[in-house]
Amino acid sequence: MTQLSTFHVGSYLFGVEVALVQEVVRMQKFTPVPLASAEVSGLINLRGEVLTAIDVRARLGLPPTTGERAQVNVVVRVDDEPVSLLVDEIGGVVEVSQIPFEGTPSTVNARVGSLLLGAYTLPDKLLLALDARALLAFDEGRSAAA
Amino acid sequence: MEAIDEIVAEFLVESHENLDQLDTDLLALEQDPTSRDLLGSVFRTIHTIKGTSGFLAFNKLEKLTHVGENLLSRMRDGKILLNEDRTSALLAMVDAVRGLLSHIEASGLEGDDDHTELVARLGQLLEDGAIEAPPLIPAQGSSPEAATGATEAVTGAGDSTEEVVHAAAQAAAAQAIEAAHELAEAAKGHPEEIPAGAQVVSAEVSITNVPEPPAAAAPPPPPAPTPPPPAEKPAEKPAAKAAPEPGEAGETKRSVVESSVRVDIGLLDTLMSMVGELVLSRNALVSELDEQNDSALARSAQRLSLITSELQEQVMKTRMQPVDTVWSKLPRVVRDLSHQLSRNVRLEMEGRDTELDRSVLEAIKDPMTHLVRNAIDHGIETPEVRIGKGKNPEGVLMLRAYHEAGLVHLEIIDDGAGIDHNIVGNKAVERGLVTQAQLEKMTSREITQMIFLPGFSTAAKVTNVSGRGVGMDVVKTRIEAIGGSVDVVSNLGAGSTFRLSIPLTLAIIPALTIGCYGHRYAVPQVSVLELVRLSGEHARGGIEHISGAPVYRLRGSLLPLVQLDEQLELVSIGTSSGGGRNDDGRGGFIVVLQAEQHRFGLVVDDVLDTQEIVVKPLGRHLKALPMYQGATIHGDGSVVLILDATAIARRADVLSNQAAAASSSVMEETTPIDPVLVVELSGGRRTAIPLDMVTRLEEIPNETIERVGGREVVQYRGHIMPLVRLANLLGAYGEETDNARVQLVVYTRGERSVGFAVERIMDIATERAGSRSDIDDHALLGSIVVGDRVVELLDVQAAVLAADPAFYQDDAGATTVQQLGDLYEEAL
Repeated sequence: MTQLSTFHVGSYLFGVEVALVQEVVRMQKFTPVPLASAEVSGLINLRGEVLTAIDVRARLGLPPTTGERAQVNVVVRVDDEPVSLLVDEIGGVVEVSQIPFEGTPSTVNARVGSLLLGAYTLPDKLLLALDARALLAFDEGRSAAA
Repeated sequence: MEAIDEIVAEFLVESHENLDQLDTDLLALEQDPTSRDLLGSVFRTIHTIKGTSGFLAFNKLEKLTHVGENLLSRMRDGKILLNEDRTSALLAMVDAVRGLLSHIEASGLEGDDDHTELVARLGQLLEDGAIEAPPLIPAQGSSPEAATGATEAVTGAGDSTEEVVHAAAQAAAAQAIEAAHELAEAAKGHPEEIPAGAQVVSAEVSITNVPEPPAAAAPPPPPAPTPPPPAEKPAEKPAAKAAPEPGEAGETKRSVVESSVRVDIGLLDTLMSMVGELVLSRNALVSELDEQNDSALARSAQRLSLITSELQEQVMKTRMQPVDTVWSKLPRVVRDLSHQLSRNVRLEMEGRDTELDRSVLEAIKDPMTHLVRNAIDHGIETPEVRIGKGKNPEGVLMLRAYHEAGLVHLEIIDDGAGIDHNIVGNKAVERGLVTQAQLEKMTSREITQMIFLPGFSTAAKVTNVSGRGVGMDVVKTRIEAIGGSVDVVSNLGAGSTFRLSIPLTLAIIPALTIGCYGHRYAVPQVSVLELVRLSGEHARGGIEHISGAPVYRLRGSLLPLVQLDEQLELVSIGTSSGGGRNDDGRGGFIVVLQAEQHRFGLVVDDVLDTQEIVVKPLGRHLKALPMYQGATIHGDGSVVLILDATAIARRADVLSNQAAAASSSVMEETTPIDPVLVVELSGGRRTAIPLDMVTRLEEIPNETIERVGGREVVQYRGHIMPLVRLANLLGAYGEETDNARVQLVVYTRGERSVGFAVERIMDIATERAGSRSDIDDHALLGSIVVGDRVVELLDVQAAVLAADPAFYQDDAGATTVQQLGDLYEEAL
């Protein structure tokens, strides 16, 4: 894992393995899914394929965006299923092999921390490496029991 | 009969293809006589034809291919080599097989071509000594030397040749006689098939002909070379003679080979998905055009639309096959197994024509077979045990297939021992699948479901039958892999029902688009029965609320209602708009849906259109939501969720209590409330009838009631409906009021109906759970509190039987006018 695709959510800078990212799209219309978990912000139509859009803010327990700017869909493909991650703003691709890597810093809150692989200390900022699988593995059965 | 025809047709197609290959292979083989690959391929082809023809009782074909196969197997084993003669003989055999096949294709019979010589010739070539034998074909044997050589060779082969010829002739004769018998029988069985008579005659002719070839062959060796040449000719000639026959019979009928092509399933899949995309593009075009006003363009679009629909339908059809293609293999499985395990099992099938996508059929094959094996091995008991339990010694294994709510349901029902959840529970603990503590918290239903866990097997020992191949967990995995689900319901001592429910996720389905709370949803048309428009005031008048449970009176029958906005939690319970939240302030709609034999009304704001939709699966984060079958993309590119009628019904708890209880433990949180219909009998006595036992409310004039024997009946929807006066049944003595019109509560089950005559329909009320007390009285289940009054609860089953003792006998249809006479007789 040497290259990370980065994006901003709230005050955090996150990165996911670049190989997992299929594309970035600025969307568009969501179809809400009643009864689904709060983390699911809706369905999008990506060239004829129906994708679930995950609200990363909700997943991290952050307040909803204040919302002047439209959020961005980062389409990641995990376990051969494309899922859209709804983030505030997209960053660049960062080469991290030369950057010191450490465990999850204690400064981030516990919920966010549980979804991290660790952190890279960029000169000006921490780049938090997201565990994409963990991020997507939220309680998938909640609504069934509701 | 049709099934046989189908098998024969398949056999023909397959054989024709194989024969073409065979020609090529044989010729290639001649160049390279030692190629084991080619020999193997040729051998397999002939072997297959032989096997199938034997199975289909095409004896001539079988005999012919059998001797060919013998020859080939010798070659394959390297005992003899392929030479020109053998090749010719084999090619002649291929031609003869073709001839036979075209006879079968034309008439279903093998025809009367005589292949005795060919069989003999092939037999002869089997002999080792014959390797050196100069050609048996006179064209080459024209030189005297060769002729003598041939004679010598044949003389040398002497007795054995004769024997072979004789045996072949006898076999042919026996066959011909058999065929004649069969024909005679067929003719008896189907007198309408007059041409069969003609065939019988010709078959007889061939019997008389048979002794001739041996007569020609048996006399001194010199003429021996002569039999071979006719070998090809007789095969040709009758074929030529026969040819006009099929021509006349069905000039226009395409031959089987021409009319079917084998296509790679991958190609069909590609076609299917392309058609899916085409449908979406068509939808997009149509919705664009709605906004423009170009009539020429609209016409073209219309035409495109029609063609697309047609194309889509046809492509769908190419992939559909009746479930019978899988089922047809099961009678044999059942027969063998019941012999092996000394069970007495009758296999019944219902819905054999139910069509399934090919890929689905492929996927259910093994699970289906396993479940059938399992039902016999673990379900149905031995006849002795059954007799001991007072059951019919013959067990019944029933297979059912039907479409419902956008799903294909396949049921495997046995009337065997059922599943003992105690044993299952203990076993699961023993295997460490659950802890004792967990087990204690589980319902018996949940425990039963554990048979699907990996590593679970109740078989005391691994039997030859159920212990091998796929297990229950594999059944579950396989079915879930195609998006289906497996369910088991078992009554200890009475049998088990396994149900496979497979959604049509791959398919394009027609769906109704509805609007609710500003969003669009699709409802598969299969679940939609009808639409009811709620106009302004009617909306309020038609919908009645009983303790928060809305009901609509639809043509006298009571329809439980479900508010979609509430169910989707778009509004909180009790604050539904009642289906009025649409653009122009009109009333909403009730979409009458069918789910698991129950009807209910879904109240929505708007009904937009119907269109063909391509079902797209939902991602894993939404899989757990049973409310949605999937999603689709509309013409404008927006994603629309597809609602599942059954799941909505379950969530709203409008299915029968049994089904609701069975659906999931989720529903247990809400107190079960059973709506009842309260009626008044004479003398002011009140009785409650469970609402799910009420099909319709009717009012009929008193004079339409007729008396048949001691019973009162009324003609109702083309049937004779027996009536029972609840007042009489329950012994409510009071003033017999002399109304001109009678109020009826009608209960219908299948074709049969029973009417309960009552004084007055009072109200629909809700039985408070736990308010029931038992009354040990005829035709009463107990008493319940409705509002502030105690009301008796009618035992509908007892009341129905009082009116019509045969009501619950499923096989007996409804009482028809024709049966009226019987009723009279019975009365006398």
